[in-house]
Amino acid sequence: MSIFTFEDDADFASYFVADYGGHGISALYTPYQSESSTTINIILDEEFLEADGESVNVETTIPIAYCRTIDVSSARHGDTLVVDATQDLDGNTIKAATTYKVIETMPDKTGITMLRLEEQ
Amino acid sequence: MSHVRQQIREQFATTVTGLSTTGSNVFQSRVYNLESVNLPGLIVYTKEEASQPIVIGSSRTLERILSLNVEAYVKGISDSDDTIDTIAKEIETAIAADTTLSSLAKDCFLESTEINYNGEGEQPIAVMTMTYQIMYVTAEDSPGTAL
Repeated sequence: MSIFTFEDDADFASYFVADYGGHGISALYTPYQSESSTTINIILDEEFLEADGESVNVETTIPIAYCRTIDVSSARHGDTLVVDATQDLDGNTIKAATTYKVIETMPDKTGITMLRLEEQ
Repeated sequence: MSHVRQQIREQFATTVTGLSTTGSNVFQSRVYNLESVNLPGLIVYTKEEASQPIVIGSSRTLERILSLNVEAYVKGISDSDDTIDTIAKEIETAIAADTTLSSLAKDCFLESTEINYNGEGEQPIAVMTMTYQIMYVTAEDSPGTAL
């Protein structure tokens, strides 16, 4: 149960809705060294990044999963998220199913946790 | 005839093309970013050269010391340090087999190697810079012909 005065669990959940054009997607979340997994909704952001090289840089992205903190309250490095393939309305695959490993946890103390991910 | 420096850079790139780890991902003097399909890859640069006359007279001869950098880029979630070292081994072995670079140079040797890691993106990136010192000689008025 959320303790915040102005937003309840339903409000937070609505931010991550995967249906009806919502920004959320479902992902299979597995805590580090655990054999049990749960399906949660996340917002996956993969912003473009020019990672510093020497004379040139390398094109890459920074995958970050925005999650409800109550879904990943014990998040730590080594947790995994498995995200289904992304498809357009015609069924064309935009991105294949991907497994990510959590490499940084960033709870914002207001109910949302950002997990920086490493693509496996 | 192109400048001997260009000939050396091209010969070096040819020698390190087709190595087991980096294959055909070899670029010369690249200025644009690398994308994932270019990795693991190599970039060959010739950015610095010092020269001095070794024969004084009306037609002087220049001894040139060329610094050639070959940069290796690797992206991966594990063992990128091992991959970098494997690439170094392959480059060093290939160049050691032809230290005159098809008779363009008097000699060349590996002067230094620097390795850096970057964890900003979706997968770690390792970058290695190997600097070769290459000595070659030309007539002052004929920089396109190696002596």
